[in-house]
Amino acid sequence: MSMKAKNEHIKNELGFPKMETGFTVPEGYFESFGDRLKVRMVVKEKVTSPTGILFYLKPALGIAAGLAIILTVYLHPFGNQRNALFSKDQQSQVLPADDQIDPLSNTYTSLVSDGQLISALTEMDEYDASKMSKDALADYLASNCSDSEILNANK
Amino acid sequence: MIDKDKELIADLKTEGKRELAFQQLVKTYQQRLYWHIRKIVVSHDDADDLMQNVFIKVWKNIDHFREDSSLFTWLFRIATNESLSFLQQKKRRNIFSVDGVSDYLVETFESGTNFEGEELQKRLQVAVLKLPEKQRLVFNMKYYDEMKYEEMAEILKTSVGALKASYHHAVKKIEAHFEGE
Repeated sequence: MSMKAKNEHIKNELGFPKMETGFTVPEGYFESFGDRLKVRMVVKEKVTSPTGILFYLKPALGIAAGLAIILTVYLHPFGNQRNALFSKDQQSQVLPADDQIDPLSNTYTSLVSDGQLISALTEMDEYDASKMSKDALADYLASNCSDSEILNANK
Repeated sequence: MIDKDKELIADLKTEGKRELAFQQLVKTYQQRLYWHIRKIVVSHDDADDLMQNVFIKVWKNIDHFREDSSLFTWLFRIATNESLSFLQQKKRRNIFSVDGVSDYLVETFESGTNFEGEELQKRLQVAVLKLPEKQRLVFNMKYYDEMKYEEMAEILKTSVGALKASYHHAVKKIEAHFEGE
């Protein structure tokens, strides 16, 4: 399509001939664009390029700082308090309620050694009333029981 | 032109020839790209900034250019995307309201410098700036740049039919704008 025909076509479409935008650029803009672009690329390169060992260590330092924060929080008094609370909580979950405690269970007998338990039972045998003399029984009652306990014993 | 572009691309991908080839690329395409961007964003300063971004992207990504399309198409696609993204960013930053891209562009045009057109050119520009984004883009590329629909379809990744329809709607709206003035 020739230029004349093209203009005629546009004129038919829009009612006026082909026009330019009318936009302009500052003087010498395109002549200097390449140089300005080069300067910007150099600046951008400097900004984004690595600057010494710190640049390479940056990710590692970030991870280290993160770990340090986590450890500080964990080892802090609050952390210990949290652990204490947690262990207390654990105890309440593990130990049964008082009325459910088996008297023969290891929970309490484990606090006393086997030797201590045997000697205590032997001592009890020694105080078996039927095997005791009257004087020994009187001494035992005097040292271990109050007067009211003795008086009320036969009621 | 296509053979020259192929040579240019080959040089851009060759270590020793890269910088010289890039200078050549800038020289060859700067004016066409500038006017394309300028018509989208209106302001000279924004167009200048965006054109620099486009060439920096080309410099960084030339090794990834697979040559499925021509160099010209690739450059115009980058320039179009950069310019539209720029307007989207402005919209997100609430510089203008959701529907106010056109108002912002008209305001930029009327308050800006670097325009020496006649009254009719000014009226046409205002009418074009009031078009929806896609119609504005298609009208600019067809009316001002006299681009073929096939080229436009490659750049904008759309069909020729859709482009023809967009251009037709754009012309009708511009006519209506003039009649309503």
